[in-house]
Amino acid sequence: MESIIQSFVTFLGVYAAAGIVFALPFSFWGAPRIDPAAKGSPLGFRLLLLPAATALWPLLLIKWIKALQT
Amino acid sequence: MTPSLRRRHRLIWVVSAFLLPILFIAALWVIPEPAIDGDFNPPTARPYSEPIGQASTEAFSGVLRRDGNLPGWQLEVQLKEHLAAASIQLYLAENGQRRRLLGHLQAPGSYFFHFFPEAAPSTDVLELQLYDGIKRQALKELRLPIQGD
Amino acid sequence: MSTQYTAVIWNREKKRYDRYLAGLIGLFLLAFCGLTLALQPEITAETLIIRATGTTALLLLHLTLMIGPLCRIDPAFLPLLYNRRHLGVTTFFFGLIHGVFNLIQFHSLGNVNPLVSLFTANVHYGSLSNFPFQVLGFGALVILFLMAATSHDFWLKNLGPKAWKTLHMFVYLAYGLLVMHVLLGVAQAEHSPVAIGFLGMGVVTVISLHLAAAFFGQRGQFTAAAGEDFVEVCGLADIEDKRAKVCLIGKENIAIFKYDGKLAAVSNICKHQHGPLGEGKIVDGCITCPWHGYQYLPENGCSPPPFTEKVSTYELKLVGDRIFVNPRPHPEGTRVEPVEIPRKHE
Repeated sequence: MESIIQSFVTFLGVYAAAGIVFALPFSFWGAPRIDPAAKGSPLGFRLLLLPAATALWPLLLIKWIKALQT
Repeated sequence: MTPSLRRRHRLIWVVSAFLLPILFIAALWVIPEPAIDGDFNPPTARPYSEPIGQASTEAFSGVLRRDGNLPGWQLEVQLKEHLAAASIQLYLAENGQRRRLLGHLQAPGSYFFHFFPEAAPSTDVLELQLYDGIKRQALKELRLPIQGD
Repeated sequence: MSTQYTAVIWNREKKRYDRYLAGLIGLFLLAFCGLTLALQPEITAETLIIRATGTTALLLLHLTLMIGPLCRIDPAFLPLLYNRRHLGVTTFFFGLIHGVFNLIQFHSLGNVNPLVSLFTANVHYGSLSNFPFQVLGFGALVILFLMAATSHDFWLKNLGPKAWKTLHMFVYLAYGLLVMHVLLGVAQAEHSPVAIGFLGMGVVTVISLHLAAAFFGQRGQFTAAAGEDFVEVCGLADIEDKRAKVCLIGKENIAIFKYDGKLAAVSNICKHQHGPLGEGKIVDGCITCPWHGYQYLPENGCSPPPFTEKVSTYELKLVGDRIFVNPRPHPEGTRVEPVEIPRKHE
């Protein structure tokens, strides 16, 4: 039991760390890519994107890649 | 709201209307452990007049008292050291088994609890246990002999 | 509406809303802390903070959940809905403070990672009476975090209204988790009848309101038989000026507006968060969604420039004083000439 929980918490930590690394570039370059309305938006808005970008990074990474291909 | 969204809401709440009350009542049913006086003990209580038992350890001490004019017994517990536990519950115990919850202790200091002799599992000795309600483990124990009449 | 994003849109109404919210929270905290200190002067500051923030979060979640059904039962509550997301985000922040203080006080004393300790301090997962209630609170906090984090319109648009709404409907799961978290936490520790009584009242209120809204809150809506070109819906006198009649024909949810001596029909579903356009009013010549104020022109279902939202439009006809609608939608943003109401009917 303990080892399962230990690995779950470790996974959570790695996932969140990857999310944090992803979130900054996403909010500055990714967001305007997938949604043109986000171009030139103020700093406050970009900072507000960070929490969700951290949490949902795999999904957003896919969206970003798709937007780059088109 | 779209009609399908509305249907989903309706389904969720019909299910919740059954499930939540059932869980609510079931939980109360299986936790039959009312605290005696619990958190509502007047903290400024004055000690009753007649000590009928006392004991002490490094961690905590207890004095059991009664008062001819007042019903029941009064237990004064003095927590002497800071225990590395967040939720310290004080129980009346019997052979290491928790029987009745008396109430909660927090920072070191003096606490008063009032209860009736019927609540004590034994008439010879009052067995007290400090219990960590979060980690669910016994922290300290104290046996307090009761002097009979 | 979407031209360019800003961090938080604050207008006069929203500022007023937030001031009332802050005032309410302040008063509640004062009362709660005052009462707790009077009854338990020996309480430590940490415990007081944990209890006060947890109780505030629970109260705010109850309010948040009551607003939706209240609005369906009586539109007079709609102003509460207008800025509900600030209420939701505030709920999360109080829950977060509660959670962080708990982790520090209860789970950071040992040498185990506090999060691991949260899950392993009590492992009676198979028991209801000893169930680790902390884990339930953690689950609810994760859901509230995801909702607060995605509450900006950017996420609504880019996750898609369907996925967004599904994610946000997890609030009901969070509510169930929180009720059990509080119930088990309180009952396992002290069985306080006051706390359990208040919680029970909250649960009964929230469930009854949602059931009432689901089964009786269908005011102004009815279903007509499908399959015909034009379906008779109502009389002219049934619609107030600058207001709408909502009808559900097959799968089409249609709002028929009466304004300036004309009739026009658009989809009842706002592009923003699927709010009920037909429960809104015509303001400055535009249909205005009662939820967040998104606007559409009645004759073509388009948001006034520079905005770009569009909803479907429908054909109407007037026979005598009876209104008929064709439930086949025109593509979003298609202009349909409004039906003029003859003078004798005005």
